[in-house]
Amino acid sequence: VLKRAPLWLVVLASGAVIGATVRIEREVSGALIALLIFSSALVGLLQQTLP
Amino acid sequence: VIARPDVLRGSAGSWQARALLYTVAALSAAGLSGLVLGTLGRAIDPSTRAGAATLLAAVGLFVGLVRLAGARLAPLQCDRETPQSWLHQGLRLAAIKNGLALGNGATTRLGFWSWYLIPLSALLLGDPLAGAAIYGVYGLTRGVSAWIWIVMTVRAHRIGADPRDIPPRILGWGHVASYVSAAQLTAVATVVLVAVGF
Repeated sequence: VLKRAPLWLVVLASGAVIGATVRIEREVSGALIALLIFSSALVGLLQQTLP
Repeated sequence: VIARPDVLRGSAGSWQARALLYTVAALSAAGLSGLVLGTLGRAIDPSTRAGAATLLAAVGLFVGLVRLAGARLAPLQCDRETPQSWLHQGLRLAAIKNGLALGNGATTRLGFWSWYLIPLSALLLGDPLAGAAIYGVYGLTRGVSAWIWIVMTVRAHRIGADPRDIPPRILGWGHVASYVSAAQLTAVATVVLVAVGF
């Protein structure tokens, strides 16, 4: 894990900041749904690389 | 099927019609799956859903970090392609069946742990419309991808390139896709943990 610290740290920090923002806004569902919709599209796209 | 020139010139209607059938089937299967999961989720107590989301996000965070560290945990999956025998049932029916199977995804090759974000989100949000939107977008992405493959194949024919070179090129991005997927899983799991869990 330590060898790749910068990448996972950036990912973790980004997630924490977004999560905290979503929480502060108290509109968990709206912001979270938007994130999950984007996430779904990304999964579908990444799956195109599967054999 | 889509990338093969002989299938593109097949006799079972135009390839555009088959591609459209595939896209609509993928979108329908995914949207319906999300709707059903969202409806089921609504029947679950909100605090139970929040607890489950927190627990699963912790698991997702672990799996994502393991992959980012260079190790690999094979996802729980059926790991199978859609049956070739469907092609013998007619190209239109094959397109529809492929769309339904890939739009839902559960019985096919998932490839990445991040796929589980889709059904679990649809279930644990407990909102049928949100579930349909989340799952539907996934199905739409898979459905629209057929058109991208077709365009690439047609373009390869036009410039005299071999369309059989396209699949290996795209499959070559698999390693990068695996890391992107792990980063995505890690980020979304962290968001859920911070926003819902703590």
